Amino acid sequence: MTKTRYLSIICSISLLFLTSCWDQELLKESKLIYGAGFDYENENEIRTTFVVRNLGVPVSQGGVYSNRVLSVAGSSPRDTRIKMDRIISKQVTASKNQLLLLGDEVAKHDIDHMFDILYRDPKSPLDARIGIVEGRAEDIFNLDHIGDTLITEFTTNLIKGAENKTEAPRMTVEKAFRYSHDIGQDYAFPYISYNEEVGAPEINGIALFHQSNFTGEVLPPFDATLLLLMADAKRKKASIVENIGEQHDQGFLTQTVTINIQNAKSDIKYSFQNGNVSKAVVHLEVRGNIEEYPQDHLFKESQVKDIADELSKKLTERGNNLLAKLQEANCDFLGIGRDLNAYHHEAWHPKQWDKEYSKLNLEAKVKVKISETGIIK
Amino acid sequence: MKTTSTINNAQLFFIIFQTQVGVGVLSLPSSLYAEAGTDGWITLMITGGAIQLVVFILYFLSKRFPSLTLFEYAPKIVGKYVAFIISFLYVAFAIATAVIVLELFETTIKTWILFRTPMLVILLLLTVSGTYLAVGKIKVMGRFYQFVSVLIIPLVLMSAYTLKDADIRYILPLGQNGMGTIFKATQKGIVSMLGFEIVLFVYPYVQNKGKAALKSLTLANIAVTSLYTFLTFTTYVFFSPGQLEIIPEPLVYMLKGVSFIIVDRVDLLFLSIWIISVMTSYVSYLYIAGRGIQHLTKRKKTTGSILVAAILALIFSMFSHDRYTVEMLSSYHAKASYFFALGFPLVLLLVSLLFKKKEESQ
Repeated sequence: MTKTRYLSIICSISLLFLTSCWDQELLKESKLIYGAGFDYENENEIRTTFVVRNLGVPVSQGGVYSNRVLSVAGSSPRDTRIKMDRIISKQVTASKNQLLLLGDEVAKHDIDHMFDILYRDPKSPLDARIGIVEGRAEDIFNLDHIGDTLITEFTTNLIKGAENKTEAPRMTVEKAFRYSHDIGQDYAFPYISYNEEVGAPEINGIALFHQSNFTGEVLPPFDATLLLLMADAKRKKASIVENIGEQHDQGFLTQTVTINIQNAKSDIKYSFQNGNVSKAVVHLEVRGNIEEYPQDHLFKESQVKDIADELSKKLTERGNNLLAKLQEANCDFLGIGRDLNAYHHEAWHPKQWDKEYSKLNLEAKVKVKISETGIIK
Repeated sequence: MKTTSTINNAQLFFIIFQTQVGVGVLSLPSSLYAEAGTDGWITLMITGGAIQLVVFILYFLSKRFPSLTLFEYAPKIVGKYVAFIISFLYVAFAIATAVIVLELFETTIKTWILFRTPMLVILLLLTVSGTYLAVGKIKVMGRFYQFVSVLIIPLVLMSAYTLKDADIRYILPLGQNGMGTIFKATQKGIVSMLGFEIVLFVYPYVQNKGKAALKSLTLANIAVTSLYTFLTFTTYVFFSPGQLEIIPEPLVYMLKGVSFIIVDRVDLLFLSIWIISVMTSYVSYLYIAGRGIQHLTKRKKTTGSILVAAILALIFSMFSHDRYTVEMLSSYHAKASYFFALGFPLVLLLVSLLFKKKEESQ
């Protein structure tokens, strides 16, 4: 008898707590943020733009998706968020946000201050993509839609596409957190600008960061690919277009060769002097297939080898230029500082690394190998 | 004490294992990092070795009194009055541990999952289900622990998945802060691996005592050490050192960024499984406290005393709750735990060896 009584009491108490009514967040009572942008307003203020999805008539019943773009200025991202809540009818939820855009001006001011809200909140989306916008992020969101696609989806897919083509590193909020707190490694975000000709945003390279600030330097997409190959970060596809050959400018459209990189291997060799790193050489070896070569048909192996050799020379030159640009921007994208700490600990001086890096003798050596020529010779 | 409820060696293994794995695992990587830097995971392996020594002491003590718990044989070693004090302290310690487990559980759940749910409700979730399990026989506990241990596998798989984003350079070079700090940090490791002292209270129920039991104990220690080392290692190669300084619960944070097509927030999944490990630790301490109270008040049944222990723990855990108070409390508790996991058993063993006190074989 007593046992049944105990059980029934325990069961009924448990039932009370199974409903979890305190923390329920119903979709119908909240507004989802699909994109957020930050812009520099003035020395003490930031402008935040939110793209909120209107969930009116469901698509299955003939409705269409639409966005509402809102923008508010305030003293911090959280402040603007609170202000935003006052002008949106329902509870604003950012946990499903997939896109964050930063204007290039605001990115030059410590991005950690802006992202604190994302790092601190347990519900924040750590896998949201980040892009740096030439000009203001607000302007991109105000485009509202490109063709049939809403601007948030369009831009997110733009960034994801660039990632797959090895034109931009895969940078989520989580990665930004990781690298901005690491003195031994810097990073870059995809750089988005507005293309007047087509009236849509486009990926225009990568924006180089040092610690938590945008350096102002941008690498064009082609250099970005080369840099990512050097960092062993090849994704699904990577293509390289280059002018080669002595008679490459004779005739219409016969200047280029395009190779599709199959695999790339990068290795950095260091030399030391008096306990300091004096020289670092990035050895990049890529193996690829010819995707386009209008100049000639390749009957002999030696022809292919000549192309590869010339490509190696050209890419080495390009590589050196882009490394010089990296050093100028003081962006240790390849994580040389990390390498030193891990493998050459005695030559690692974390406090002086900022100065040492830009003075380092950094060199690239690219070697190209071609294995296939497509389905014709 | 004669009893029909016994546990086999596998159950002994899982009881020790599940009691050890608990709340500590979430904050372990960052507390080790604070002491030993990126070598914290090496510390854990040394800790495992140190714990093995303690396990031997506990084993030899229990072996001298194969059918009695610590509460029952303490009077035979040190006399009635001292034994009363020791037993009382053990009860207090077990309740304090349960309180700490409850508080850490509550703060973690509150910061990560249920932001608006009242404190009491979260505490009751653990208390009600835990008490129900503790009231059952030791065999039920053993079976339950064995059953839920399967859930450790997804826990390991989830953190193994993050290795795809790992950078081994974060932990290299090994031993960069010197061997001294690695050893100094062992105390942090020991605290999070506490729980093996439950052997003092469950040993009499083990079917095959002696070598087989020692084997279970050692295996449990190895399993816990490897699990903790692995989990800590994954966070150390995932986060850059600068992050580890500011993230108090790296394991959950690490999984927060992982998302699959079907599961968006892996950290919530992880925490849901972790809750079970917390519950098992809580139940074990509740059991120790309950048995102690039963022995001290000379009752026949354990049910009442376990309820008393659960209510006491609940009341204490309802006080102060911010992160800093809990941290302060657990640091006191950590210091005290050395006496209960090592100090008292060692003294009891030495005294019983010295005066040749042993359970008479029947």
